[in-house]
Amino acid sequence: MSDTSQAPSLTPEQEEAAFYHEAALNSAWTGSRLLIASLSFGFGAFIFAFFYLKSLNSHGLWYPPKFTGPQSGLGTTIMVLVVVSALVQWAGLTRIKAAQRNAWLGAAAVALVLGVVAACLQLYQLVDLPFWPGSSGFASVFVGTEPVFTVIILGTMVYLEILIMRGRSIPPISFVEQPPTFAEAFAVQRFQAALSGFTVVWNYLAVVAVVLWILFYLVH
Amino acid sequence: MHGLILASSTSDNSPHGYNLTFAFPMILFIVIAGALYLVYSRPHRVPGHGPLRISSSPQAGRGTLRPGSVPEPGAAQAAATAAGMSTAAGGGTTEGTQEAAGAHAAGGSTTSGSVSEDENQAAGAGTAPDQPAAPSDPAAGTPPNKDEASE
Repeated sequence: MSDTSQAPSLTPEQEEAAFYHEAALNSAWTGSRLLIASLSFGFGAFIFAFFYLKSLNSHGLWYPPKFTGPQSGLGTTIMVLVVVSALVQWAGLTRIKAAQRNAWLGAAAVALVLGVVAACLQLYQLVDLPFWPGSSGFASVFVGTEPVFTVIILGTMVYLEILIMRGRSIPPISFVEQPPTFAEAFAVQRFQAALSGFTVVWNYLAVVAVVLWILFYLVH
Repeated sequence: MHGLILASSTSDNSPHGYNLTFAFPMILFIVIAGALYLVYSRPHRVPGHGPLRISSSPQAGRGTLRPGSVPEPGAAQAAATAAGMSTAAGGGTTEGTQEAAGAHAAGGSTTSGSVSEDENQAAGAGTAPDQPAAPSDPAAGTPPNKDEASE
Protein backbone atom coordinates (compact mmCIF):
# COMPACT_ATOMS: atom_id res chain seq x y z
CA MET A 1 0.00 0.00 0.00
CA SER A 2 1.11 3.48 -0.54
CA ASP A 3 2.37 5.78 2.09
CA THR A 4 -0.47 8.20 2.34
CA SER A 5 1.28 10.26 4.97
CA GLN A 6 2.88 12.31 2.22
CA ALA A 7 -0.39 14.04 1.48
CA PRO A 8 -2.30 15.95 4.08
CA SER A 9 -5.54 14.30 4.94
CA LEU A 10 -8.92 15.73 4.13
CA THR A 11 -11.63 15.98 6.62
CA PRO A 12 -13.98 12.99 6.69
CA GLU A 13 -16.73 15.18 5.31
CA GLN A 14 -14.62 16.21 2.33
CA GLU A 15 -13.54 12.64 1.69
CA GLU A 16 -17.11 11.47 1.79
CA ALA A 17 -18.35 14.25 -0.47
CA ALA A 18 -15.68 13.44 -3.04
CA PHE A 19 -16.44 9.74 -2.84
CA TYR A 20 -20.15 10.19 -3.39
CA HIS A 21 -19.50 12.65 -6.17
CA GLU A 22 -17.49 10.07 -8.08
CA ALA A 23 -20.12 7.46 -7.33
CA ALA A 24 -22.76 9.76 -8.81
CA LEU A 25 -20.74 10.17 -12.01
CA ASN A 26 -20.29 6.44 -12.37
CA SER A 27 -23.91 5.70 -11.59
CA ALA A 28 -25.05 8.03 -14.37
CA TRP A 29 -22.90 6.14 -16.84
CA THR A 30 -23.88 2.72 -15.55
CA GLY A 31 -27.53 3.57 -15.03
CA SER A 32 -28.05 4.83 -18.56
CA ARG A 33 -26.72 1.56 -19.97
CA LEU A 34 -28.85 -0.47 -17.61
CA LEU A 35 -31.87 1.60 -18.58
CA ILE A 36 -31.26 0.80 -22.24
CA ALA A 37 -31.05 -2.91 -21.38
CA SER A 38 -34.27 -2.68 -19.39
CA LEU A 39 -36.05 -0.84 -22.16
CA SER A 40 -34.81 -3.42 -24.63
CA PHE A 41 -36.46 -6.16 -22.61
CA GLY A 42 -39.65 -4.11 -22.45
CA PHE A 43 -39.79 -3.38 -26.15
CA GLY A 44 -38.64 -6.93 -26.80
CA ALA A 45 -41.86 -8.18 -25.27
CA PHE A 46 -43.90 -6.19 -27.76
CA ILE A 47 -41.71 -7.20 -30.67
CA PHE A 48 -42.06 -10.81 -29.60
CA ALA A 49 -45.84 -10.43 -29.52
CA PHE A 50 -45.69 -8.87 -32.98
CA PHE A 51 -43.80 -11.73 -34.56
CA TYR A 52 -45.52 -14.42 -32.55
CA LEU A 53 -49.03 -13.34 -33.51
CA LYS A 54 -47.96 -12.63 -37.06
CA SER A 55 -46.44 -16.08 -37.34
CA LEU A 56 -49.38 -17.81 -35.70
CA ASN A 57 -51.95 -15.82 -37.68
CA SER A 58 -54.83 -17.46 -35.82
CA HIS A 59 -57.84 -17.83 -38.07
CA GLY A 60 -56.24 -15.34 -40.41
CA LEU A 61 -56.85 -12.54 -37.96
CA TRP A 62 -53.36 -11.13 -37.70
CA TYR A 63 -53.98 -8.57 -40.42
CA PRO A 64 -57.29 -9.35 -42.10
CA PRO A 65 -57.62 -8.35 -45.76
CA LYS A 66 -60.16 -5.62 -45.05
CA PHE A 67 -58.32 -4.35 -42.01
CA THR A 68 -57.41 -0.66 -42.10
CA GLY A 69 -54.14 0.02 -40.33
CA PRO A 70 -52.98 3.14 -38.51
CA GLN A 71 -52.42 6.33 -40.47
CA SER A 72 -49.04 5.84 -42.12
CA GLY A 73 -48.45 9.55 -42.66
CA LEU A 74 -48.87 10.27 -39.01
CA GLY A 75 -46.70 7.35 -38.01
CA THR A 76 -43.95 8.45 -40.34
CA THR A 77 -44.12 11.99 -39.01
CA ILE A 78 -43.79 10.77 -35.44
CA MET A 79 -40.78 8.65 -36.27
CA VAL A 80 -39.08 11.47 -38.14
CA LEU A 81 -39.69 13.91 -35.30
CA VAL A 82 -38.07 11.60 -32.77
CA VAL A 83 -35.08 10.93 -35.00
CA VAL A 84 -34.57 14.60 -35.82
CA SER A 85 -34.89 15.49 -32.15
CA ALA A 86 -32.13 13.04 -31.26
CA LEU A 87 -29.92 14.31 -34.06
CA VAL A 88 -30.40 17.94 -33.09
CA GLN A 89 -29.61 17.28 -29.46
CA TRP A 90 -26.54 15.28 -30.41
CA ALA A 91 -25.36 18.04 -32.70
CA GLY A 92 -25.81 20.53 -29.89
CA LEU A 93 -23.81 18.32 -27.60
CA THR A 94 -20.80 18.64 -29.86
CA ARG A 95 -20.94 22.40 -29.42
CA ILE A 96 -21.10 22.45 -25.67
CA LYS A 97 -17.59 21.03 -25.52
CA ALA A 98 -16.38 24.14 -27.28
CA ALA A 99 -17.85 26.29 -24.54
CA GLN A 100 -20.82 27.11 -26.75
CA ARG A 101 -23.31 26.31 -24.07
CA ASN A 102 -25.97 28.51 -25.60
CA ALA A 103 -25.73 26.53 -28.83
CA TRP A 104 -26.54 23.40 -26.91
CA LEU A 105 -29.33 25.13 -25.03
CA GLY A 106 -30.92 26.12 -28.32
CA ALA A 107 -30.52 22.68 -29.79
CA ALA A 108 -31.86 21.06 -26.66
CA ALA A 109 -34.89 23.34 -26.68
CA VAL A 110 -35.58 22.39 -30.30
CA ALA A 111 -35.12 18.72 -29.45
CA LEU A 112 -37.48 19.12 -26.53
CA VAL A 113 -40.19 20.67 -28.69
CA LEU A 114 -39.79 18.00 -31.36
CA GLY A 115 -40.01 15.22 -28.81
CA VAL A 116 -43.08 16.66 -27.15
CA VAL A 117 -44.78 17.21 -30.50
CA ALA A 118 -44.00 13.60 -31.44
CA ALA A 119 -45.60 12.38 -28.22
CA CYS A 120 -48.65 14.59 -28.74
CA LEU A 121 -49.07 13.35 -32.29
CA GLN A 122 -48.84 9.79 -31.06
CA LEU A 123 -51.55 10.45 -28.51
CA TYR A 124 -53.69 12.02 -31.21
CA GLN A 125 -53.21 8.99 -33.41
CA LEU A 126 -54.16 6.63 -30.60
CA VAL A 127 -57.45 8.37 -29.96
CA ASP A 128 -58.29 8.45 -33.65
CA LEU A 129 -57.43 4.94 -34.76
CA PRO A 130 -59.52 3.43 -37.56
CA PHE A 131 -59.75 0.10 -35.70
CA TRP A 132 -60.62 -1.27 -32.30
CA PRO A 133 -57.91 -2.73 -30.09
CA GLY A 134 -59.30 -6.25 -30.35
CA SER A 135 -60.15 -6.21 -34.03
CA SER A 136 -57.00 -8.07 -35.06
CA GLY A 137 -53.69 -9.33 -33.76
CA PHE A 138 -51.91 -6.38 -35.28
CA ALA A 139 -54.34 -3.97 -33.63
CA SER A 140 -53.74 -5.43 -30.18
CA VAL A 141 -49.97 -5.20 -30.52
CA PHE A 142 -50.11 -1.66 -31.87
CA VAL A 143 -52.44 -0.46 -29.13
CA GLY A 144 -50.20 -2.07 -26.53
CA THR A 145 -46.89 -0.80 -27.84
CA GLU A 146 -47.47 2.80 -28.80
CA PRO A 147 -48.84 4.10 -25.47
CA VAL A 148 -45.84 2.66 -23.68
CA PHE A 149 -43.47 4.24 -26.18
CA THR A 150 -45.28 7.55 -25.84
CA VAL A 151 -44.99 7.56 -22.07
CA ILE A 152 -41.28 6.79 -22.31
CA ILE A 153 -40.79 9.64 -24.78
CA LEU A 154 -42.58 12.04 -22.47
CA GLY A 155 -40.50 10.90 -19.51
CA THR A 156 -37.33 11.40 -21.50
CA MET A 157 -38.42 14.87 -22.46
CA VAL A 158 -39.06 15.71 -18.83
CA TYR A 159 -35.48 14.75 -18.10
CA LEU A 160 -34.27 16.86 -21.02
CA GLU A 161 -36.13 19.81 -19.55
CA ILE A 162 -34.37 19.20 -16.24
CA LEU A 163 -31.02 19.13 -18.03
CA ILE A 164 -31.79 22.38 -19.81
CA MET A 165 -32.55 24.10 -16.55
CA ARG A 166 -29.38 22.71 -14.98
CA GLY A 167 -27.31 23.75 -17.99
CA ARG A 168 -28.57 27.31 -17.84
CA SER A 169 -27.07 27.75 -14.40
CA ILE A 170 -23.58 26.68 -15.48
CA PRO A 171 -21.27 29.30 -17.00
CA PRO A 172 -20.12 28.33 -20.53
CA ILE A 173 -16.46 28.66 -19.61
CA SER A 174 -16.88 25.94 -17.01
CA PHE A 175 -17.09 23.37 -19.81
CA VAL A 176 -13.53 24.07 -20.92
CA GLU A 177 -11.90 25.51 -17.82
CA GLN A 178 -11.78 24.21 -14.31
CA PRO A 179 -14.37 25.97 -12.18
CA PRO A 180 -12.85 27.74 -9.22
CA THR A 181 -14.66 25.83 -6.51
CA PHE A 182 -15.29 22.20 -5.83
CA ALA A 183 -19.02 22.81 -5.62
CA GLU A 184 -19.04 24.26 -9.13
CA ALA A 185 -16.73 21.54 -10.42
CA PHE A 186 -19.04 18.93 -8.98
CA ALA A 187 -22.04 20.56 -10.61
CA VAL A 188 -20.37 20.70 -14.04
CA GLN A 189 -19.14 17.14 -13.91
CA ARG A 190 -22.48 15.77 -12.81
CA PHE A 191 -24.21 17.73 -15.55
CA GLN A 192 -21.81 16.29 -18.11
CA ALA A 193 -22.40 12.76 -16.87
CA ALA A 194 -26.17 13.24 -16.86
CA LEU A 195 -26.15 14.80 -20.33
CA SER A 196 -24.06 11.97 -21.70
CA GLY A 197 -26.42 9.40 -20.24
CA PHE A 198 -29.42 11.23 -21.63
CA THR A 199 -27.87 11.40 -25.09
CA VAL A 200 -27.24 7.68 -25.14
CA VAL A 201 -30.80 6.88 -24.07
CA TRP A 202 -32.44 9.37 -26.43
CA ASN A 203 -30.42 8.12 -29.39
CA TYR A 204 -31.45 4.60 -28.46
CA LEU A 205 -35.11 5.61 -28.39
CA ALA A 206 -34.70 7.13 -31.85
CA VAL A 207 -33.51 3.76 -33.07
CA VAL A 208 -36.50 2.12 -31.38
CA ALA A 209 -38.80 4.58 -33.14
CA VAL A 210 -37.37 3.55 -36.49
CA VAL A 211 -37.72 -0.14 -35.65
CA LEU A 212 -41.32 0.25 -34.54
CA TRP A 213 -42.11 2.27 -37.65
CA ILE A 214 -40.68 -0.48 -39.83
CA LEU A 215 -42.70 -3.12 -38.02
CA PHE A 216 -46.02 -1.33 -37.89
CA TYR A 217 -45.99 0.42 -41.24
CA LEU A 218 -43.82 -1.69 -43.50
CA VAL A 219 -43.55 -5.27 -42.27
CA HIS A 220 -47.06 -5.98 -41.03
CA MET B 1 -67.23 -40.33 -38.09
CA HIS B 2 -69.83 -37.92 -36.96
CA GLY B 3 -69.42 -36.30 -33.58
CA LEU B 4 -67.72 -33.60 -31.63
CA ILE B 5 -64.04 -33.14 -32.32
CA LEU B 6 -62.50 -31.47 -29.32
CA ALA B 7 -59.00 -31.03 -30.67
CA SER B 8 -59.90 -29.44 -33.91
CA SER B 9 -57.12 -28.34 -36.17
CA THR B 10 -56.96 -24.78 -37.36
CA SER B 11 -54.92 -22.90 -39.84
CA ASP B 12 -52.69 -21.63 -37.08
CA ASN B 13 -49.00 -21.90 -37.73
CA SER B 14 -48.38 -23.50 -34.37
CA PRO B 15 -44.86 -24.86 -34.94
CA HIS B 16 -43.52 -21.42 -35.66
CA GLY B 17 -45.23 -20.22 -32.53
CA TYR B 18 -43.46 -22.89 -30.52
CA ASN B 19 -40.11 -21.96 -31.96
CA LEU B 20 -40.58 -18.25 -31.41
CA THR B 21 -41.75 -18.77 -27.85
CA PHE B 22 -38.49 -20.47 -27.04
CA ALA B 23 -36.06 -18.69 -29.31
CA PHE B 24 -37.04 -15.07 -29.05
CA PRO B 25 -36.76 -14.60 -25.26
CA MET B 26 -33.62 -16.71 -25.21
CA ILE B 27 -31.93 -14.75 -27.98
CA LEU B 28 -33.06 -11.46 -26.52
CA PHE B 29 -31.60 -12.32 -23.15
CA ILE B 30 -28.33 -13.56 -24.62
CA VAL B 31 -27.89 -10.51 -26.81
CA ILE B 32 -28.62 -8.00 -24.05
CA ALA B 33 -26.57 -9.83 -21.45
CA GLY B 34 -23.68 -10.12 -23.87
CA ALA B 35 -23.89 -6.45 -24.79
CA LEU B 36 -23.91 -5.42 -21.15
CA TYR B 37 -20.96 -7.69 -20.44
CA LEU B 38 -18.98 -6.12 -23.24
CA VAL B 39 -19.92 -2.59 -22.21
CA TYR B 40 -19.07 -3.02 -18.56
CA SER B 41 -16.01 -5.23 -18.92
CA ARG B 42 -14.13 -3.03 -21.34
CA PRO B 43 -12.19 -0.04 -20.11
CA HIS B 44 -14.40 2.97 -20.34
CA ARG B 45 -14.30 6.64 -19.52
CA VAL B 46 -17.06 8.13 -17.49
CA PRO B 47 -18.05 11.51 -18.95
CA GLY B 48 -17.45 14.38 -16.62
CA HIS B 49 -14.93 12.33 -14.73
CA GLY B 50 -11.97 14.34 -15.85
CA PRO B 51 -8.96 15.32 -13.83
CA LEU B 52 -9.40 18.40 -11.74
CA ARG B 53 -6.66 20.95 -11.78
CA ILE B 54 -6.21 24.36 -10.43
CA SER B 55 -7.60 26.78 -12.91
CA SER B 56 -5.40 29.29 -14.63
CA SER B 57 -8.41 31.02 -16.01
CA PRO B 58 -9.36 34.39 -14.65
CA GLN B 59 -13.02 33.41 -14.87
CA ALA B 60 -14.96 35.10 -12.17
CA GLY B 61 -11.68 36.31 -10.75
CA ARG B 62 -11.82 33.78 -8.02
CA GLY B 63 -8.51 32.13 -8.69
CA THR B 64 -8.42 28.62 -7.43
CA LEU B 65 -10.21 25.70 -6.01
CA ARG B 66 -11.37 26.24 -2.53
CA PRO B 67 -11.44 23.04 -0.50
CA GLY B 68 -13.76 24.61 1.97
CA SER B 69 -16.47 24.81 -0.65
CA VAL B 70 -17.01 21.09 -0.87
CA PRO B 71 -20.73 20.40 -0.86
CA GLU B 72 -22.31 19.19 2.30
CA PRO B 73 -21.88 15.44 2.71
CA GLY B 74 -25.57 14.97 3.12
CA ALA B 75 -26.31 16.72 -0.15
CA ALA B 76 -23.68 14.75 -1.98
CA GLN B 77 -24.99 11.51 -0.56
CA ALA B 78 -28.55 12.37 -1.42
CA ALA B 79 -27.56 13.11 -4.99
CA ALA B 80 -25.89 9.76 -5.27
CA THR B 81 -28.44 7.61 -3.55
CA ALA B 82 -28.66 5.22 -6.42
CA ALA B 83 -24.93 4.96 -6.82
CA GLY B 84 -23.05 1.83 -6.01
CA MET B 85 -19.43 1.60 -5.13
CA SER B 86 -17.23 3.73 -7.28
CA THR B 87 -15.64 1.86 -10.13
CA ALA B 88 -13.11 4.55 -10.74
CA ALA B 89 -9.52 3.69 -10.17
CA GLY B 90 -8.71 4.60 -6.65
CA GLY B 91 -12.32 5.11 -5.70
CA GLY B 92 -11.47 8.71 -5.16
CA THR B 93 -9.25 8.44 -2.17
CA THR B 94 -7.26 5.25 -2.26
CA GLU B 95 -5.37 3.14 -4.70
CA GLY B 96 -7.31 1.11 -7.17
CA THR B 97 -6.49 -2.47 -7.97
CA GLN B 98 -5.24 -1.43 -11.37
CA GLU B 99 -2.98 1.29 -10.10
CA ALA B 100 0.64 0.87 -9.35
CA ALA B 101 1.61 0.85 -5.72
CA GLY B 102 2.08 4.35 -4.47
CA ALA B 103 0.28 5.90 -7.39
CA HIS B 104 -2.18 7.57 -5.13
CA ALA B 105 0.51 9.20 -3.05
CA ALA B 106 2.52 10.39 -6.01
CA GLY B 107 2.14 14.11 -5.88
CA GLY B 108 3.29 15.21 -9.32
CA SER B 109 0.34 14.39 -11.47
CA THR B 110 -3.39 14.30 -11.43
CA THR B 111 -4.20 11.27 -13.46
CA SER B 112 -6.85 9.61 -11.42
CA GLY B 113 -9.49 12.22 -11.84
CA SER B 114 -10.00 12.19 -8.12
CA VAL B 115 -11.25 15.38 -6.66
CA SER B 116 -9.92 14.60 -3.26
CA GLU B 117 -6.52 13.64 -4.57
CA ASP B 118 -6.13 16.93 -6.33
CA GLU B 119 -7.23 18.66 -3.26
CA ASN B 120 -4.52 16.86 -1.39
CA GLN B 121 -1.97 18.06 -3.87
CA ALA B 122 -3.20 21.58 -3.81
CA ALA B 123 -3.10 21.71 -0.09
CA GLY B 124 0.12 19.79 0.27
CA ALA B 125 2.12 21.83 -2.16
CA GLY B 126 0.97 25.03 -0.64
CA THR B 127 0.04 26.27 -4.05
CA ALA B 128 -0.62 29.89 -4.44
CA PRO B 129 -4.22 30.66 -5.11
CA ASP B 130 -3.73 31.78 -8.67
CA GLN B 131 -0.96 29.44 -9.63
CA PRO B 132 -1.74 27.23 -12.64
CA ALA B 133 -1.06 23.54 -12.84
CA ALA B 134 2.57 22.55 -12.62
CA PRO B 135 4.41 22.35 -15.93
CA SER B 136 5.46 18.80 -15.14
CA ASP B 137 1.87 17.75 -15.19
CA PRO B 138 1.45 15.96 -18.52
CA ALA B 139 -2.14 17.04 -18.66
CA ALA B 140 -1.44 20.63 -17.83
CA GLY B 141 -2.69 23.13 -20.29
CA THR B 142 -5.47 20.96 -21.60
CA PRO B 143 -9.03 21.74 -20.72
CA PRO B 144 -9.96 19.36 -17.96
CA ASN B 145 -13.48 18.78 -19.09
CA LYS B 146 -12.87 18.63 -22.80
CA ASP B 147 -14.56 15.77 -24.61
CA GLU B 148 -16.05 14.46 -21.45
CA ALA B 149 -19.64 15.18 -22.19
CA SER B 150 -19.94 13.07 -25.26
CA GLU B 151 -20.05 9.38 -25.43
